[in-house]
Amino acid sequence: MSSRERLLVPALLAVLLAWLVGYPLLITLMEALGGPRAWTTGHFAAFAGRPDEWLALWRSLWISAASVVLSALVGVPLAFLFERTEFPGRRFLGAVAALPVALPPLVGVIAFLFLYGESGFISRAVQAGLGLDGPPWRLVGPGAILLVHTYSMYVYFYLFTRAALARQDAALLEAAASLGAGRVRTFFRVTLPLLRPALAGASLLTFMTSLASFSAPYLFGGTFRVMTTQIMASRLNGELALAQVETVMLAGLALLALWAMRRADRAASTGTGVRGIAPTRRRLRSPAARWTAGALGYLLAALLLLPHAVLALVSLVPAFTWTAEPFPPVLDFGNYRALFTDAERLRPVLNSLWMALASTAAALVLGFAAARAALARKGSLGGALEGLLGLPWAIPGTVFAVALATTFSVQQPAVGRFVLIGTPLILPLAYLVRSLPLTGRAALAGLRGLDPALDEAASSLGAGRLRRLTRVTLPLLRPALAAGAGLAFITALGDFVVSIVLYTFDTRPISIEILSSLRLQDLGMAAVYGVLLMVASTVAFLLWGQGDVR
Amino acid sequence: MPFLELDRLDKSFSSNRVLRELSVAVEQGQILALLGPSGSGKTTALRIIAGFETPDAGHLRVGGEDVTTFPPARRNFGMVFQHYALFPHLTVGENVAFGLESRGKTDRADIRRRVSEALALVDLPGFEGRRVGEISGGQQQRVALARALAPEPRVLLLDEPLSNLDPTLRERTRRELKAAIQRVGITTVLVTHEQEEAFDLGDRVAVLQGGILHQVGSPEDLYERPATRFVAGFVGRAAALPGTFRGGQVVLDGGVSWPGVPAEELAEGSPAELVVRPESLRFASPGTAGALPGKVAERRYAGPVTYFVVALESGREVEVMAAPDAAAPGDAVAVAPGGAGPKPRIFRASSRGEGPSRDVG
Repeated sequence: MSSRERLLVPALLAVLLAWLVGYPLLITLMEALGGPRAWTTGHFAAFAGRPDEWLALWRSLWISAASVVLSALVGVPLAFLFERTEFPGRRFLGAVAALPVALPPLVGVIAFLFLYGESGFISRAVQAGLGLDGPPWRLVGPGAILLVHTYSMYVYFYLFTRAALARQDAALLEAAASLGAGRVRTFFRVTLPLLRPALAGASLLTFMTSLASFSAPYLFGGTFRVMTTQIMASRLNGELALAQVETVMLAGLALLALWAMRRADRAASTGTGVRGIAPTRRRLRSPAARWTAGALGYLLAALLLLPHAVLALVSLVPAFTWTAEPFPPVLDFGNYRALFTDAERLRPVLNSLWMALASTAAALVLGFAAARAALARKGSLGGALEGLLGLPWAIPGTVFAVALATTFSVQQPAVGRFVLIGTPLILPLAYLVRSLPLTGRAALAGLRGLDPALDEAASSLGAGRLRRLTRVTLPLLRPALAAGAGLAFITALGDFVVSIVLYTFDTRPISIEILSSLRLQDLGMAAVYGVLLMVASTVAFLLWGQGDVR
Repeated sequence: MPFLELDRLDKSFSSNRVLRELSVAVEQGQILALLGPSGSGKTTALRIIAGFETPDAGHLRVGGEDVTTFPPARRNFGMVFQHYALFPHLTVGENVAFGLESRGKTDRADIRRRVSEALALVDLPGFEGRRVGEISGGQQQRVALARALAPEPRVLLLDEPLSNLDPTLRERTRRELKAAIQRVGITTVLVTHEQEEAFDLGDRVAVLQGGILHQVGSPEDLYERPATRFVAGFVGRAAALPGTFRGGQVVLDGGVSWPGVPAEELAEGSPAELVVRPESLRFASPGTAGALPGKVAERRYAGPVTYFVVALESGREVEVMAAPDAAAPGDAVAVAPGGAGPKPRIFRASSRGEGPSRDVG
């Protein structure tokens, strides 16, 4: 490669990424400020003058913080239970405990609706059992949102803590014991401080995911609006300028949160760099304790798998056959038959499939090329490439959806703006942007872990650039790239948050069809789509999602 | 005419000049060992020969052809990497075949034959189907050698070829490595920081330090006739005694004169250092004329011989090789030149404060 080529390729990649990732955000900020025709801070002033806007900001913040606390309270003890004790069924239950994270957010939400909603199984059972006139509770407001968040996000704490515990060196605990520390002191002075990086990582992930969460507040929020649903409401009301300001504020909040948590985390980086041997699991000795742990474990598993089971069950309910009964009177496979015989019902599945495939393929190529260029060129260009690859991870999906809608609704080719809204291109493009961090980070991690001597060995054995890429680099990166692509694919397949802003009737994806089925009270059909996503996501998660957590 | 020629190679990384006008030549079929401490530039020199780095100035010639700007793939050199760099996703056989296929060989039967020949050469016949991860470190090292040799390269490069092995395995592997190289008769450059390895494998050894070539020569040259003060200290054990150069001898601190061979040009009466190996010293009874008095500070038993560290009255320390029962720690002794070792060498007094004695293990 000539030196000009070596600069040209990364520069072109940086321009492409900047156009895809950075440019729409910039355009949104500009238009929120009235630019380029009538610069004004008026829209921001209007935002600042409305109490409901501040309320939505505040709610986004505290819901996210509460999600972190609740998820930690569930996930960390579970991690200790499954990593440090031994009881019958531990391995299986330990895997089941990670499953909720594999449910696409919208699917988890409708499963909760079928379970605990006003006409859900549990609610009906309680109502019938207690002889009440109405449903025992309403699944609405912050409580409902937090319930769903905790259900799906405790898994971050669970997986991160388990991985950290598995890496901890038993010798450290033995050293503490030999220095006279008891179990309690060892826990607080050794085990817990060593978990800090894992806990910080899980907190960051949970906070950012909650801040970006849309499905749960959209379906359960009611009048309780957080920033993501506030943006949708403003757009629905036709207040586009206000929606842009809200989008900018949410993006700012996300970046601020990321910055603050990274800063707090930097002080906490610990580790001796020695990977020791993990302590042996404590075998619960008394049979009573062992059975209790086992029973609790299975009860927990049942609770965690209830949403999956209820989805499968409801998918067998024909439309409009289940009204007041506590249990659906008719169950058959009619919904599944309809899916494959009625072209209009299959359409969303095919739409989601091709859009997810196309966006994943593009994200894979672009993410890999950018990661290679970023690592080959240290310095500002490499840093810019890495930053652009990671940016969509930090920015909530709603923000990107609005930004893309704003940028690609006018035809100004000279400044890189085209009308893509209303065309079949906009959704795959949006999915691509959202997938870049997944494929890009997988490629970066894979390339960083690759011994540079392997490439040198291949070139000293006479292999040219293409042969080194196809025979050495790509085969070695295949597991990492497959994992990144797999996660990108299921995220795109089940996407709701971006789709709801950008879909057209012809390109409506599965999630939008779920929503309209719900609106038509066709719960069975909604559940069929949910089951499809659930199966695809679970398979992908089991194949690629768990990393080295066992 | 030499087969491989490094001609005034210069290389800097940012402001750090890691090679200064390095010139060495290797005859066809010879083994050259580049020996030096870490940071001496030896690895950079090897990477320049392999084509992974481009020199800032200077030329690299093979058989009279200037290959300085050739990419690695066009040089037809074989290289064994420090950590072997075997492709983990390929079998042993596929690893060895990689270079043959890269160079355009397509005849499957021919490739298979050459792979099995290469594996037989390193004493691993029938290993084609094994996975890289399931063979031992010593076997990996040999597969790496077979892979490098299979395409019949013009030059073989070895980067610290034995550093990754257990000490117990190292000596055996070294013998096998040497036998395999000699059987093929290939021109070889190897990089090592271990003197024993360099001496055993190298026909000639080049000593580098701080990017500067200090001396190229046979192991005997380096040990018995070190050209610089650095080589004298780096290769083998030695003690340095300061004094004044007078009449072909060094007048030491106590006024006694010890003989030696000037290794560089010295003016009469200039400050000098006498570098003495432990086997060139002997114990004398205290009070002997021309001997330096001191006290045994330490006794290091090494099997057939024993090394005694003697703290001289002048404050210097020297090492004396003697029979195990020659002295005991705390004994008052005197040290005199003699013994069967090489003649002491006389250098200009080092201005850079090179330590008085330096052990390289």
